[in-house]
Amino acid sequence: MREKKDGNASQMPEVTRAKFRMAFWLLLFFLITLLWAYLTFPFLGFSSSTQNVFHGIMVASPFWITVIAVLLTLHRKMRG
Amino acid sequence: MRIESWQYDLVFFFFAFLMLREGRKIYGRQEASIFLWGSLLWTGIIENVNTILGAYDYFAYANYYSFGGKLIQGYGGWISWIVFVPAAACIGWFLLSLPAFMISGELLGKRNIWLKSTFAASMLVSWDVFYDPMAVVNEWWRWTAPGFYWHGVPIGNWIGWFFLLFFFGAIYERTVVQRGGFRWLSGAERLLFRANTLDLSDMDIYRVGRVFYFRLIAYLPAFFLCCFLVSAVSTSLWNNRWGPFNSVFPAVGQEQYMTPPEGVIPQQHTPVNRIGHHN
Repeated sequence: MREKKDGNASQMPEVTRAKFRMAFWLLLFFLITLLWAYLTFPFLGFSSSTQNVFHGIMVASPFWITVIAVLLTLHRKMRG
Repeated sequence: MRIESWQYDLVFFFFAFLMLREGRKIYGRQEASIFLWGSLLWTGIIENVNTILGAYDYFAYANYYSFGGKLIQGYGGWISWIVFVPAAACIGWFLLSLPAFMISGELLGKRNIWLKSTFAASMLVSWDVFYDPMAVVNEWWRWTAPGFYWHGVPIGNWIGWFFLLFFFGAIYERTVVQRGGFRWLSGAERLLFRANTLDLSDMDIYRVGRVFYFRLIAYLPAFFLCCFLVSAVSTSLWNNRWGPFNSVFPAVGQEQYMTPPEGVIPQQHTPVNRIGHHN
C-alpha cells in the first residue's frame, strides 16, 4: 500500500494555492448561505431573520472556525 | 422573502464547479472526478431510498412550475433530478464534502482514516445544523417522519449527515489516496476484479475508480444500519413530532406516532403557508 502524494515537489506551491482557493470558496459559500438566512423567513421557533444569522454563526462555529484555521495555515505555507 | 429553488440550484452548481476545478489540481484530474461520481452515486442512492421510505420529500415546493402536480405533486420545481431527488442536493453534498475532506487531510495529516473522516463529517454536520432549518422555511424539502425535531428538522437528519461523510471519506482515502484495501472485502473483490485489492498501487486509475464505487455499494448496508439504529433509539426516546406526515411516499410503521398521547399538544412543524400553494 502506498501513500499517493498530492502532487510532485515542483507542483506543491500550485497544490497549496488550489487548497487555499478551495477553502476560500467554502467560506464564501457559507457567507452566501448566511446572507440567505438574513433575507429569508425566520426559522421555525424564531421570530426574526436576525435570529437566523445569530443561530447560524453559533451552531456552525466548528465549521467556519475550522475553515478559517486552514486558510491561515495554508496562507502561512504559501508565504513560507 | 423566499429563496427560490432555482437560486439554490444555480449557487450550488456554480460552487460545485469551483470545487471540482480546485480538486483536480489537488488530487489529480481522474481522482477528483472519481470523488464527484462517487458522491453522486452515494448520495443519489441514499437520498432516493430515504425519500421512497417516506423520511422526507422534495415535492412540497414549486407546484406552479412546469410539471408541478402532473406526475407527483410538486415534482418539477428543480432544474434537474436524480429520480426523486434534485441533482442540486447531491451536487451540494459534493461541494461541501470535497473541501471538508481536503481540510481534514490538511489539519490531521496521516492520521487514521476513520479519525479524519470523523473530523470532516462533524464539520459538515455543524454547517447543516444551521442550513437545514432554512430549507424547511423555504420548503425546498419537507420532513415527513417522526423524531426529535429542532427548528423543524429531525436530529436523524444530522445523524445521517455524519455517517454520509464518515463512511465516504474513509473509503475514498483508503482506496483512491492510499491505494489500499479493506480486509473484509478482499475476498469478494478478488473474485470480482481478479486482483489483490489490498494493494491497488499498480492498478490504473480507472480500475481504482471501479473498486471505489464497488466499496461504496458494499458499505451502504453499514451506513443504513448505523443511521437506523441511532435514529430509532433517539425517536423512541425523544419523539416530539406527530402525524399526519403527508409524504408522497407514505411510510409504514408510523401508526404509533399518528396521535399524540393525552395531554401533549402537537408542535407546529409545517411552515406558515406564505404563498398559498399548499399546506
